[in-house]
Amino acid sequence: MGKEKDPLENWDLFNQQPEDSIKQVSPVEKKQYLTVNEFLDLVNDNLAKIDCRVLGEMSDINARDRYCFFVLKESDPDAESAVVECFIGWRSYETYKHLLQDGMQVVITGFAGIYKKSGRFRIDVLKIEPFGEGALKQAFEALKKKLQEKGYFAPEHKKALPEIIQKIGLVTSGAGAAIKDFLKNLGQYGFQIYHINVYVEGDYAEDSIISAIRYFNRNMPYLDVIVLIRGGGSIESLKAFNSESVADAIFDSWLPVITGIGHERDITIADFVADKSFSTPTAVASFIRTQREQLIQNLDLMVDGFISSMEANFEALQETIQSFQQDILSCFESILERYFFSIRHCAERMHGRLNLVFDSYRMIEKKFLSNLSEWHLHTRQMQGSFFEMRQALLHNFQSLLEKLNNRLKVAEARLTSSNPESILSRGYSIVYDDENKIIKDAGKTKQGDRIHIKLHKGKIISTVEQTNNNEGSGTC
Amino acid sequence: MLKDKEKLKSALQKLERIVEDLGKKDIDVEQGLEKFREGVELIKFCRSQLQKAENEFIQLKQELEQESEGQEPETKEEDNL
Repeated sequence: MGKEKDPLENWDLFNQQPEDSIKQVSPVEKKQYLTVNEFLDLVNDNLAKIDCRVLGEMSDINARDRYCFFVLKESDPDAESAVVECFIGWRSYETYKHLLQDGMQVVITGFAGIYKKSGRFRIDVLKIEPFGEGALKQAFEALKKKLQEKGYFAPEHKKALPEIIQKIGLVTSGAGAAIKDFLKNLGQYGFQIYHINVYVEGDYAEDSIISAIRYFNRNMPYLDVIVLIRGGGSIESLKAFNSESVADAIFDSWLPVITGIGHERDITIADFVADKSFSTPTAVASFIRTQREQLIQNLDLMVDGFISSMEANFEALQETIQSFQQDILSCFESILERYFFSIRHCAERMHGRLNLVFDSYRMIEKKFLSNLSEWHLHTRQMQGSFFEMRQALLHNFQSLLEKLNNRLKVAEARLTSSNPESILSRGYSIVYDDENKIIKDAGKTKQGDRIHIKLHKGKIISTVEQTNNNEGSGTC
Repeated sequence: MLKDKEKLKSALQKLERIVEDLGKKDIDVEQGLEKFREGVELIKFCRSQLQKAENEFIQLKQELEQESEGQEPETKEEDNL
């Protein structure tokens, strides 16, 4: 059996090939015999038409890595013993391997046929469903264990519920009591509810629930939560909620899922996988309502808190502004003071400088005045000396004139006294010839010469009568 | 004026020499008379020159006095400064 070709081929044959194509390969009409292959194809073709759902008890389980063989035995103790060989391929094996337990009562769904390589009859199993309360419970525990090992229930995989739940994707039956209880207990808080009517039990339940969860995830990603609810029932009726495919759908949903399935005592696999689970639909509604009410209450408290904190802030702000105002005023005052100080300082400096200027001006003025007075004194002195000089000049010149006059007078007096004619007054006289020459020698004259005798007073004109050169005197 | 003064100076010296010469005993009457006449002329010249100088001196002195009278008030003004 281990050497058999991949049984997948057969599975594909059963599933994919249309009936017409199978008929075409049948050459019955043309030939009087069939080849083994043709025969087996014909048999398998006809066997495939059988609705193959078989109840039995599993035994001789021979599990490999990707597929498994087992034997399904007649489970009715009163009936004749009977067995049928079963094969489960890799696609179904992964899903149902937790149910492959000896003695478990199950209903298998699949295709009956003869495996060509060995010529043995067997059922290719597509689906295994536990049958009866015991099996269901057993299956439940097995799946729970399997999923737990896969980490489906781990707290770190639980998505947090949003603080505000407003948009709800509701997955439940539209006809059941669950939806009524849920809506009744949710309260009038304006929730937006999007409902997908699903089968909650029976053969279509699993698929419809999975489709609904996937639909919400795919088409309405803005939802806050998905709520999956159902009223109470037997373990049989809750079968869909204990299925692995629903568990997968819940686990794969990225929208948080809240479950409320059955009565208080019912716990399903879906509840374990869900991000939040409640015992009943009413409990889910109560939770959402309470959360909303709490939110409103919190909001009121927050508003109160906000108002009071705003008031406190406002007061603090006013105090701050007040202190700022005072700071600014004091700053301004100190600035003004500084300015006043600077201005005063400047004024004092200017005053000092001005005084220096005035002082130097006064010094210059004083110096000028003293120079002026010195000059004036000097001028006066000059004037004085000039005056003195003038006086001296006048005096000296005058005395010079006087001296000259005196000299002249002396000279005049002496000249007058030494006048040769002055002796005439004493009786002397001077004799001149006709040529007005003085005759000093009698011998220079001869008889008859006319002579002119000058006396002290007047003149005498006479004639020489006799001359005598020896005597001192002549005779006229 | 300087020329005149020089002339006056030499004239006076000349006059005084003539007076000296006239005082000598050996001087003859003719020479004496001649010198006397010269001395009289010199005296006349010196007198006129002296008179001229004196007149000019008096005039200058007056001018000087007038000038210093004119300058007096200015000095007074300077005093006030």
